Formats: sequence, C-alpha cells, structure tokens
Amino acid sequence: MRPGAVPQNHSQPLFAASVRQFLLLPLLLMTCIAVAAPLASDGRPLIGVLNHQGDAFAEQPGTPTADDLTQASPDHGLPIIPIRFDAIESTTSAGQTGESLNGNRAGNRAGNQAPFTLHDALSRYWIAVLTGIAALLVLLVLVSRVLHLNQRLSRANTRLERRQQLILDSVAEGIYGVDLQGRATFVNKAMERMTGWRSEEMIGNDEHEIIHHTRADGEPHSRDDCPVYTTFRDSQPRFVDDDLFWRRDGSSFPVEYSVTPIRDERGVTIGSVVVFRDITDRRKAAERISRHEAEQAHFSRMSTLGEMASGIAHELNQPLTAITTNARACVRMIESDRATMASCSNVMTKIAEQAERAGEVIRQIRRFIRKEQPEISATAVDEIFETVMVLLREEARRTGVILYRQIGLGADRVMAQRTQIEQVLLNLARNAIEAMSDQQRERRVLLLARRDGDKVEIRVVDTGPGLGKGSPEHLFEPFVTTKAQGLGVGLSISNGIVEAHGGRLRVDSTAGIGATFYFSLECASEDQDQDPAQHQHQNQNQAPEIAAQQPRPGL
Amino acid sequence: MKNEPTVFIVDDDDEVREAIGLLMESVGLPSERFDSGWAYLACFDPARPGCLVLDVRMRQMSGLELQERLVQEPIHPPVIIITGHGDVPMAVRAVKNGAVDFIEKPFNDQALLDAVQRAIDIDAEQRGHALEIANIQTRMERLTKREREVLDQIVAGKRNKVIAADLSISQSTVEAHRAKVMEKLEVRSLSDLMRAMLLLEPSGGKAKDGL
Repeated sequence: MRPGAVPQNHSQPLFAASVRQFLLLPLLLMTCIAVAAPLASDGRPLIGVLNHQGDAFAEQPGTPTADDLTQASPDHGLPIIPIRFDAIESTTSAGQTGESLNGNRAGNRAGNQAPFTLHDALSRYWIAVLTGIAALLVLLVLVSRVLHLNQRLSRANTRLERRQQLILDSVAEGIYGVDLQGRATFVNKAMERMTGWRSEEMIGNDEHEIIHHTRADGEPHSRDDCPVYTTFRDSQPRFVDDDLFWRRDGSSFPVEYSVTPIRDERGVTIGSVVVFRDITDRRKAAERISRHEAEQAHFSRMSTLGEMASGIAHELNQPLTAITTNARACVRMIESDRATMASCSNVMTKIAEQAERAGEVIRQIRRFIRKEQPEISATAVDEIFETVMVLLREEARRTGVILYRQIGLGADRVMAQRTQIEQVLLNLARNAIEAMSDQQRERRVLLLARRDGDKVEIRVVDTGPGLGKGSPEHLFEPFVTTKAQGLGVGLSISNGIVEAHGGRLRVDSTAGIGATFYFSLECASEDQDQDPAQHQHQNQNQAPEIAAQQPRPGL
Repeated sequence: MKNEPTVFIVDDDDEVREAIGLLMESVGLPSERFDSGWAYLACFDPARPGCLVLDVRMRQMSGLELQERLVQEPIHPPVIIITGHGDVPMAVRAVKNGAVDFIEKPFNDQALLDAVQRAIDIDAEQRGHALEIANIQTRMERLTKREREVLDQIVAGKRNKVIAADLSISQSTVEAHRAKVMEKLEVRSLSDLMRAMLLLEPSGGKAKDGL
C-alpha cells in the first residue's frame, strides 16, 4: 500500500481536476465561436459566396423578386425561405407599417430602399447563426459527456473505496491509520476483531489511548515514546517486533507491527499507517519449543549424570571415607590418651574441610540437574570450569587423564546460561576422555578460555587420536555417533545450546595429535554484571534500529 | 625401627591417605604413605616387615596392578585392598593374588585395623618361616659331603645299618656322622630334623602364598 492509494483525501482533488478539464474545453470552444462570428458578420468578402451576395444587394437595392430568390435559393441552399419571404413582402407592400416593422434598419438604409428583411439577415449572418447552433450542440454534447464522465468517476471512486475497504478488511493483519494528532483515520475489520473496538469508536479518537496505553510491565506507555507517533514525526518507517496492544475488555495481546508514514502528493507526512499482527500463537509456539529444548537439555544432563553416577559416587566416597576414618582415629587417640588438643583440633578441621568438599560435590550436582529457565546472564568462566572439573575428576582419575584449565586475560566473564554451557563442556570433555582411554600417549584435556575481540572463545583441547575420517559437520547432527554405545545426541544438543547462545560449535582435528572443540560466547562487560534485565532491555532497543535501516518490503 | 612392622599406605587421594595414616597412628602403628604405586615401588624394601593398604583406583597404576607386580617378588608385605566400589571380578582378582582382605570405602575403622593386624601377623609368620629356612640353609652349608649323603639317607627313613651298607661304611661311622649332622643343624631330635627338612623341601614356595 502506497500512501497515495490511501482514501478520499487524495482521490478528491484528482476528481475535481478532471471535471475542470472537461468544462474548460467547451468554454474555450465557445470563446472561439464568439470571436469568429462577428468577424464573419462584418461582411468582409472572405469567400466567393459572400462576394456574390454583396453584389446582388448593391445592384438591386429594391425588393428582391421571386426570381432572385429562386435564383438565390439554389445558390444558398435555402428552399423553405420563399414562403416566409411572401409574408414579408405583403407586409412591406401594406404601407408604412412595414417600415416601422423593420425599424431603423430599413430607415438607415436609403429612404426609398426596401426594408432589411429576416431573409437579408439570415442571408447575411447565416454563418454566425449556424456556428452558434453548432456551438450550442457541441456544448450540449460536451455537457452531457461531462456529466456522464462525472458519474462514472464517482462510481469508480466509490468502487475504489469499496475495494480498498475490501482489501483492508480481507487482510488478516490489523491495519489502521492515524493523522498527525494521533487520531485514527481508518481501521480495518481485522483490527476490530482483534481489539474488540468498533471502527466508529476508534475513528477520530486518540488511538494510543485506546489500544497502546500501557506497557507489558504495567507502566503507562507515554505518547512521546509511541513508535506510531514517532513515525509521523520523523517520517521514518519502523518495525517493532515485541509490543502489546489492549483490547476493549481490558485484556492485552502481544503484537509485532510496522509503522509507515503516510505522505500526501507533495510528500508531506500527514500521518502514519500501522500494520500489526497478533503474535500470541507464535509466542506460544516459541515458548513451547524453548521449553522442549530445555527439557531435552535437562534430560541429556540427567542421562549424562547417570552415566557418571559411579564416578560421582566415588567422588563423594573419598571425603566420606576420610571423614569417618579421621573421626574414628581421633576417638581412638582420645581413648588411648594419646591425643593432644592441637592434634584433635587439627583432625577436626580436616573433617570439616572434607565435609565441605563432599557438600561442594553435591551442590554442583544439584545445580547441574536443576531445571532452569534458560536465562543468559553474566557468569564467571572459572565457576563453569570448576563444575566441569569437579564432576569429571573421578572419571579422569580412573582413565588416567589429567585435566587442566586456563583462563586468558579479559576472558573471565561471559554471557551464558551457566548450566547449559557446563553441560556442553562436560559433554566435550567426556568425549575427549573417552577418546583417549586406549592410548599410550599422554592423556590430557585442557579447558581454555581466551578473549577474541568482543567475544570469549571457549576451547576443549585433548591429546587424543583426533577425529576419524568423515566431515566434521555431520558430527553435530543428531544420532550421528562414533561410539559403540553412544546415542549420538550429545554433540547435537551441545551445538543446539551453543547456537542458542548465538555461537556455533566448531572442531579442529589432527590425527595423532588431538582434537579441539571450540565456540564463542559474548563477553560480559563490567556493567552487565549480575544484571540480565539490562541486557534484555538493550536487545529490545536494538530491534527498531535494525528495522529502520531495512524497512520491510511491501510497506 | 627396621624390624618394627610398618603399614604402607598407597592411595592417590591425599585426604584418605592421611586419614588412614592417622588411624594407624591412633593404635600406635607406624605408617608410611605413598601417592602412587610407582612411589611405593621406588622405596620397596623386601626386608621391611609390615603390610600394604592399597587403593584400587589410582591415576597411573591401579592397586591391582601393583599387587600383581609385588607377587613376582620372592617376599613382600601382605596386601589389603580398599576400594570405593568393588565388584566381584575385582575382589576375585585381588584374592587370587593373595590379598589379605578386600574392604569397601567408607570402611569401618575396626574392620581395617583387624585386617591390618592380621596382615602383620601373616607377614611375621611368613618372615618367621623365611628366617627359619634361611637359618637351616646356612646350617646346611656346614655339612660335609659325606654328612649330607648320610642326611639324605636319614630323611629317606633308612636305618643306620642300611645306611652303612649303602655307603659301604661302618655303622658306628654312620652314627658319628648322624651326631655331627644333628649338631651342625642344631636339632635335638629326629623329629626336629625331619621338620626342618620338610620346611626346606618345597624351597619355601608355599610360604610365599602366605595362606
């Protein structure tokens, strides 16, 4: 929809112009005729016929005879005239009355001359008369034509308006226009349906106050911030993908909409038009998908933990063993009177430390399997690595793998959903450990974080045999596995998580040297610390900017 | 110090290792602690009495691997295996290799101490046997060739008269030799002599198994 196609205001001048044009033509014609007629009646001998007639008047100033007339009639082509001329002749022969009848004209001419008859007039001014009649006819034709056109135009106009309304109404999106005061100029059926307001209630009223008065968080939405109003102020089209409109019954629904300025024929903005869509269903579907993904990730974490259960049990067993043994030893020393205060308190401190160690393992496990809303926030890389190392310590010990971690300068905080990134690292590190289980070479896994521009690159490096042949892209597809007992979902879930963080899981591999899996995360700047809300807010602000640079086609 | 039985603890978990050490200390047993099988092997001295408390899961060399290596040695302290989660095959393997006990973590302190005590006793016994054998062997060195021949005949259960006939010597010479053998081997009776010889017969191989 271009602004030009939008309603009455614009078609009206167009219509008026065409009417003017049609009226102008006959007027011009009439002016021409009016000028031409007197010229012809001046008796200037322009053409042969006139010349001959003038001569006839000069030679025979008296009453023209019937012969003359009959002679003249074939010349002038006026066969009906003789009858009329008889009548005139009789009146003139009747005496002076004829003179008075003919008035001054006859008198002006020579006294004894015959009076100037209608015949004379006609034969003298017939061209003017004919032209006048023709002009009248033309005028008549033109007027009827203009009336006809006018009618057609108004019909076309009505049809156009109807079609326009039809188009507006048949669109599933809600469409409405506002003028520079923010009053609705038109609305379509879909909008009535979606908002519950009738068009009569909306048109002419402040649209912002009707459907756009409050934000999602319950704060009043100021008119000055309204993108619809801003659009006709700065004449920039914009797209808003996350907003809220209110219904007549006081409920609200999520919308995305595009606002385009309406311009008149001179290009001056006279309002804006809004096309909006109820995105409740899409929102729900997106929520469903993200919930599904979260569940899948959770399931995968549970199963990972299940596989690691024996290792983790051992990890708990160690401090528990140390605790009981220390406690018993202490009791024995006290009983056998060999204990000193110093040695006892030393042992007690050890016991406390070991209990804390066990508690830490449990805390990490509980946090890892907790169902969390995938909320991305500023997270310390060190904490992520710590969890992975705690959960993997026993598995690494059993398989003789040494775990390292290294965090580069400026790479200590990232924007991440902590549990999910831990899950990715755990997956990758476990794969690495498993890949090295049979090798004689040194077995090492390095968790590495390093700054890369405004991102932090996380790497899991191993000294294993590297990946086998085959394209590494397939690795990230679901149900692709190189393990005898693998399901092939680990890497695909990991990749999904990394993609949800706006990155991509990649791999480098050299046979006989090792493999490196890596991905990038947004670096958390200082002011983003512990403030996920602010981050989201920034995202929201960015959306209209992008939309302004690339207006949606067709609007 | 050298002859005092020592508990050698091999576990790569510092806290568990120290805790077991403390437990041994609490009952007055000296202990030495190693964080890997290799560290223990580096200090291994067959002459030192005691027992070995061995964790199964260790980074470089598992407890069972260390045990299998020790079995190759002619003499070594008895082994007690401790593990976080033992299974039957692991236990079978450990016991086949002569483990004194197979204890699961976290363990009852008394159970471990009992096992340690038993292991030390077994070690002492083993070492006793070994010492006796060594002594007998030393004494055997003192015997002359003729005395040895006479000894063999005695062990074979022959009478003096038969021995004399077999060796073509007089019966009194046999008796003199016999007295000399008894004296040199430091045994008082024939039964003592027989026991010493039996001990020597399987060349100590049985003793190595400990049980």
